[in-house]
Amino acid sequence: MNNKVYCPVCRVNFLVREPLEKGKELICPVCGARLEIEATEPEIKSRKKPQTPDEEINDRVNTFAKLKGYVFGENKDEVIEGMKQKKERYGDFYCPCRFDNVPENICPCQETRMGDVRKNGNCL
Amino acid sequence: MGCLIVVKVYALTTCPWCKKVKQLLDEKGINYQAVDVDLLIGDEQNQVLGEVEKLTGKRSFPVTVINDVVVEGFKSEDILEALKNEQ
Repeated sequence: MNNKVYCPVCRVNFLVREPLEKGKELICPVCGARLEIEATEPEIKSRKKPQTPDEEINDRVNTFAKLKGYVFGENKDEVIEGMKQKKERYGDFYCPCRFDNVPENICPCQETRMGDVRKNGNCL
Repeated sequence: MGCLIVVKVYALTTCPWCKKVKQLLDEKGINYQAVDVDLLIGDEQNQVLGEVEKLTGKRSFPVTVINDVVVEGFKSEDILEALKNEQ
């Protein structure tokens, strides 16, 4: 049986075949976020697994890169530093090089999730 | 007297590529005006964002303007070439 799980980071639903129970840890296959099942009744509810900001963003970008087969450029640490600054100032890991702090620009941003890296060779 | 070059860098303080553009220009001894858009407020910020959108159609950074040549992102070859051509 397929279970539909909503990812609060990239705001997309994904399907999970295996049975789910409260506390189970999942990786969102779309953005690499580490999630945790909060409830299964009346419906499946997931949340971000509690992590420190540093753990969360490093875990997410590393997992996303592995899922997509991407490698990091020379500036990885500085980009992560820029995102942590955005998290402190604006509440989430928005792209450090885009002005607008909107859900679509939470890293990995929508354009990157939709394959922009394959077109341009790098994200932004 | 060489031709006057006006260089402007639109940047965000969170963006590492913006820092790299500034570093490149500093290393080359190029005078430039840096505009950290995320540090501006109100009408001034809106006006500058309008400028950037007119130049690139987007609100992402860095944007480097060398006289009227616009370079989006950290593309050192394009920046150096534009500087050479404009001199």
